[in-house]
Amino acid sequence: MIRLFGPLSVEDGERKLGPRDLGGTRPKQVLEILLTARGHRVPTDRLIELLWGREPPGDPTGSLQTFVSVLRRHLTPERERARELVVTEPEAYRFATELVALDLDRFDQLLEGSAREPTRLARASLEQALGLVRGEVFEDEPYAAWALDLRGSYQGRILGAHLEAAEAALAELDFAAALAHAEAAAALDRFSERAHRTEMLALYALDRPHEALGRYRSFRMRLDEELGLEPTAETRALEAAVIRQEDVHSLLPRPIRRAQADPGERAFRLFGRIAELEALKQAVRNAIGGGVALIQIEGETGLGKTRLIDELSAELEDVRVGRASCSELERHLPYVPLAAALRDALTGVDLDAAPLPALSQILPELALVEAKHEFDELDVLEALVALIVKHAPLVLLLDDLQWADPRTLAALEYLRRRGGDVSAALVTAARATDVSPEHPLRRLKPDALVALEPLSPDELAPLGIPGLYESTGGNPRFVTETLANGRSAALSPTLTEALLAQCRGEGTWGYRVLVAASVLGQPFEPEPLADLLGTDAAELTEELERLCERRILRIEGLRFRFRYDLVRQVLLASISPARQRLLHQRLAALAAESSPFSITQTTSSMTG
Amino acid sequence: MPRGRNLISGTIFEHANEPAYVMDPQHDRILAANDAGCAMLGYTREELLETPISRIHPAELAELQELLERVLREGRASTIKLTCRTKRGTFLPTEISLHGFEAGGRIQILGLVQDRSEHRQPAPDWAFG
Repeated sequence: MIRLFGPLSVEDGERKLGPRDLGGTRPKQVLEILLTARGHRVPTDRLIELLWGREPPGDPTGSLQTFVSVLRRHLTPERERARELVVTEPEAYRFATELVALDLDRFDQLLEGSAREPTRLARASLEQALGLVRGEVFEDEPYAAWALDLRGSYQGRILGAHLEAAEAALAELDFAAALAHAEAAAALDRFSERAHRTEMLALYALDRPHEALGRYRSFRMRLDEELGLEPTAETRALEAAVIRQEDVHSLLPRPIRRAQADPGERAFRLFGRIAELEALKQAVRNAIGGGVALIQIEGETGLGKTRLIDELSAELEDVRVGRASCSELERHLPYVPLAAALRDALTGVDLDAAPLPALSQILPELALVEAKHEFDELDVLEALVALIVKHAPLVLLLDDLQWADPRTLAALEYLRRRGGDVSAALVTAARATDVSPEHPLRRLKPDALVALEPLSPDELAPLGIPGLYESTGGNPRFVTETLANGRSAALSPTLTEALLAQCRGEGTWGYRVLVAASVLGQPFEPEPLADLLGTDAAELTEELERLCERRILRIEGLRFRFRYDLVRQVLLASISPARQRLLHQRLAALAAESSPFSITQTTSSMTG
Repeated sequence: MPRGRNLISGTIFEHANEPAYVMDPQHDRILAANDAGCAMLGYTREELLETPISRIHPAELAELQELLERVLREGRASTIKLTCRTKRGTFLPTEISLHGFEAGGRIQILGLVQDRSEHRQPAPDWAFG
């Protein structure tokens, strides 16, 4: 592990190198500059400029070579390994960050991952990320040019992580933790409205309303005196709510309970596959409860194997999940997909290879300093079993298994046979029809097999597209392409159409909800929207929550709003004048019938 | 709004409450920014259009490049990881949603940005000038 938060440190098992153990200031600075490039090459000219500015020594290239050499020697006693880490390239150097664990990378993974996780897991990820922060980035280089921007950037990221953690803690009703994060955020940014608002809300929730109002007053005074500004309407509204002693639960953010897939990957809802998905979930449950199982999804191209894995992955809770795809180009490289899935599953775990040295055969980054050593394959597999036992329950999802290397396939079979009562499931997807009878994949003996067939006419019927089954043969890929082309997703010549196409990608119902929501004032409550659509408010709220997870809407207390007002405006502008008039009439009628919904709220949006 | 109308010059883009930028990733340039986008970063529009994207994300070029490649590949991408440097040097934590589109035969990117900290800034000097 190389740590850049706080003073630079290189840790490898028992061996720990600090800033003074790298052969002097210049070699240490060379390492810092290379690490700042995060695995990319740094031209020697740039290195020289950063190290010496406008006053380079007589032979800067020679001096640089010396520093690199000293750095390598101090980094690891094993010469070849040192050259693998500090790579010499034509007129450049590069640090192979892919071979080591870098605390900044781990911080970023956790932060980015938290945006797609349900609240409970997101909060854990954020806490873990913040736990990595031992101090400022490159603390021992306060004025170096290469450190300043990186440090500033991570100050922003840390601030963001505290804010998200505070909000997640509020959603989970852990008000003391929310207050601690909000205070940390406010200390990092004295003018952050959100940090101060979260502080106020946490204090109010802790039954300390006077302190909440005190924080508001001091923030308002600071804004006024130093910037000549007033707090935003949202913050003023919170102050008013505290004064009115409103029920705190109506002010708190709501937790997101479901995991969220990458928004770009699930443009359409899953059609059919209910039985297949249920069979997969049951097989995984059995494996978690009763010992390692190999679960295989089989089907020809385009039948939705990957999509099924997406859906399964989104529904797995309380287990570590690691996912990877096998590549035809990497099938000669041992353990690559298995290693990728393990890394994904164990993101944020500080792996110590010392007790399991053979594990470095699968995860080479674990052997930073030790000399390369070939282990017996059985030792490697036993180390793998021990790793999984330690971190169970665990689910590994491997796609395109037909391209897996022989060692990964052998490891899967070994785990299946050797796993016993280990809580782990190995879910694979493969085009078994594409492999020869001699292919090792044929020798795998899955505990459960889910074979995919084309979708049936009944499964496609809800889409309401005449002749869809006849034209696509029920192949999900062709169905998806037909839907996408019909919605012009890829052909939109203008930005307006691109945004509309993305909203249409949420399905007919989702799009209808979005269009209707665009008519309402923001933020909006589900009830008037349900009335407008003539639907059940509870069902509608589920759809609104889904659209929040898709990052089109966002939850605000008990209400919802568009994440980006521009998207709302594009939707609103896309409604024909006749439909606008009808919606306006219906809104006015609803407002007249039902006093809780403000007529000004509805009509202002129509004109705005 | 009739389909096909160019949004960039339209009032929706100009007057959206959220910061929005149209970018040319190949030339490291911001082609258009709305009022909220200028205010968030503390630049005048003219200054912002002369500022390379890489100066807004000085320590994040590799990550930005990866994100832009994803947009070119998948049409859209979003992240909460990147920060934006304001003219005054403050780094704001942001949520950035990028959407690719074609205009005049060139790929351009619409960036919708939220300042996650809601950092309040003084009105820029130009506002009084």
